[in-house]
Amino acid sequence: MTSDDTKELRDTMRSFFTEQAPVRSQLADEPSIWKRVATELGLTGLAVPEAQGGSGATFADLAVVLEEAGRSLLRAPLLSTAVAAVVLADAGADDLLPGLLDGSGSAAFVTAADSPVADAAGSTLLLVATSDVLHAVETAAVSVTPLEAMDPTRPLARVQLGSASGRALGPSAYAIDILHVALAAESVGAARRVLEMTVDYLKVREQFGRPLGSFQALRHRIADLTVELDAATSTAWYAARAAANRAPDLSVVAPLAKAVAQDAFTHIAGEAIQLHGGIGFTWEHDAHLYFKRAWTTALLHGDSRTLRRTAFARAGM
Amino acid sequence: MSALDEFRAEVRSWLTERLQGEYAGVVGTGGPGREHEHVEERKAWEQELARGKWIGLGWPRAAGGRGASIDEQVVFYEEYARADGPGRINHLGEQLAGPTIAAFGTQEQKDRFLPGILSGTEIWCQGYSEPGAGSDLAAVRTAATLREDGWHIDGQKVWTSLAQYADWCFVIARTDPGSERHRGLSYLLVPMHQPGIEVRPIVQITGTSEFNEVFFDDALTDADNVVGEPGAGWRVAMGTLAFERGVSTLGQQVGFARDLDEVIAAARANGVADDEAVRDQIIEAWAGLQTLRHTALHTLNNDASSSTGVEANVSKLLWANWHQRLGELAMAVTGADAAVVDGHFSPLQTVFLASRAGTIYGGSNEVQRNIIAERLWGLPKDRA
Repeated sequence: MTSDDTKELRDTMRSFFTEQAPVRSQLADEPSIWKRVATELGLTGLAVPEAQGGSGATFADLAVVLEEAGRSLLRAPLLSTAVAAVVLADAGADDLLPGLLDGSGSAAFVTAADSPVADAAGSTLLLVATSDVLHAVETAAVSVTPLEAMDPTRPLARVQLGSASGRALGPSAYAIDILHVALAAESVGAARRVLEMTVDYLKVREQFGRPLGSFQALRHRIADLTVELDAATSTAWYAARAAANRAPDLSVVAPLAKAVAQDAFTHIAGEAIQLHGGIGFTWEHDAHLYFKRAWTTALLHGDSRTLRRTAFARAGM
Repeated sequence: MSALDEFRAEVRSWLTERLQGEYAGVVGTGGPGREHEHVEERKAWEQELARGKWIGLGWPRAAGGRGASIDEQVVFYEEYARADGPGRINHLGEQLAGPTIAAFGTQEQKDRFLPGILSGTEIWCQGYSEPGAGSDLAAVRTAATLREDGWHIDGQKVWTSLAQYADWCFVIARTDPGSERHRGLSYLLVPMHQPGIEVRPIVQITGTSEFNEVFFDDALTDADNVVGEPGAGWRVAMGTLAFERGVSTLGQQVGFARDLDEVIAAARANGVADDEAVRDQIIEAWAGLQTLRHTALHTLNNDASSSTGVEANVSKLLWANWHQRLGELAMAVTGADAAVVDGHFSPLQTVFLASRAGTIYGGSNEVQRNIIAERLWGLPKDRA
């Protein structure tokens, strides 16, 4: 894709998610949104080769879509399903793809024993990373118990694999890497949105007879958050291109991208509440939804310290 | 082998042949806090680079450059740093003066000045900051008056990098008496070797002198040596800043990587690298450097339409803060012995001390933050 194409994709996705799937529509399951995302727009197969039933776009394009979905804190399991589709296509497991590509099914990733699993309830397929091998397991073959999640926009469930047998798809490293890249993209998109909301608020909210945004103490905090976010976004985009090109340094930048993205997101979402003052602490305001998504992302699929250590070790340092 | 790989091989072999041969003496010399090292040899090295056609690599061909792609420029900087090439003594000429003259200058100015930069024979410095005009550059008071024999310049510049070695200086001076702020300024090219100019090195925190005071006492330059219209110097000066697009940042980062390697080596040598907390600080520094690189690559790959307009400000805040933290980490891993000077400052002590300047020069952190707040986000100015 040229940069013009990327911009067009971004603009299209921005209007779609803003208009058809705004943040407040994410608090409960809305099958109509999933139908539009998966069945009508075919986004779950975006980065699957055409020969395998997908759209043949790159992982970098998928990252753009996930960034835009992140702005709305999309609840539907687009991220997990689209990444799973890439993994399955890569492993040649074409027979498992159709349900994911037409939206009749969805997928979730189980990357740690005993961890709550995002998007597992209602899914049809689980990709389970045990030691170094990735297995595909039918969700129907295992026990899935929905949990009440702190983040109302990302459903969690307890998964007990029991004695279910899965189908070995090969090494798990690539799948986990691109899952991390996808989460990084989603996080920087969401972080950008909540930062924008905060800046907008600082422009209109007046105290001491002037807009809050004219106080240098606050302007400088916004600038520092911007720097942190721009850096995290650069790493996320670099990692998305590495995923698209199967670059040798994907294994280094993927965990790094998730670490810096979730650090930026948790920091920015926390500051967003603070800078909004009392209103930011209310259920009515969206700030807490971003804050909860940020922390859920940071808590699942690898904490920042471990991810950075992994990246450092893989870089041969 | 791709064309880029071939280019890399060409750069590497050219550098290796010289830096392991005739120019071995300049390897690893110069740079922040160490600009006094091997000055004559580094001037000679600049001319050797010119003979290899490496100066002006990214300049357009019309300006006498090689018109190299961004990827090629990145490769050159990477290989230059890998070979531990010396701090470039004319980076202000190659990266600021030259591109500015090429963009805004007359044909006569291009013919007169670009060859001297491309041949490495004329060294440049930048006359912007003044005692009363640091972060607030528009407050410059150095004045120039056009008379029959040219521009007469009076005033003082400060924090002028490498002025003691420079042949020419690009100076922002007030040419419209009584004008204020951004209006009435002109961008003048002034020869340094004349009685009207006195350079006094400033002894810095490192004990060395990269920066200087430059006094203009009826200094003179030809009437033709004004770039752009007289009075339109602010626009030219701001145009200069736009040339900093990040390629040189990547070169700088390879130097940072070397500093980081040294910190890691020190931590491993004395065993503190085994401490989990120290190890995580090192990993944090390493991760920060990766992100710096991704940010620079992102800026380089951006076309004008997707530019935020504040990439340079973001990058400045990132690297200056990162380097300062690295300097502090260097001291922490060295431990109490870091407080002892053995004849002269060690490379890590120099990083530690010299990095305090990075958050001030070229627009302090505070100025960068204001620019981001206003230009990117449109936040109102602080009128308190």
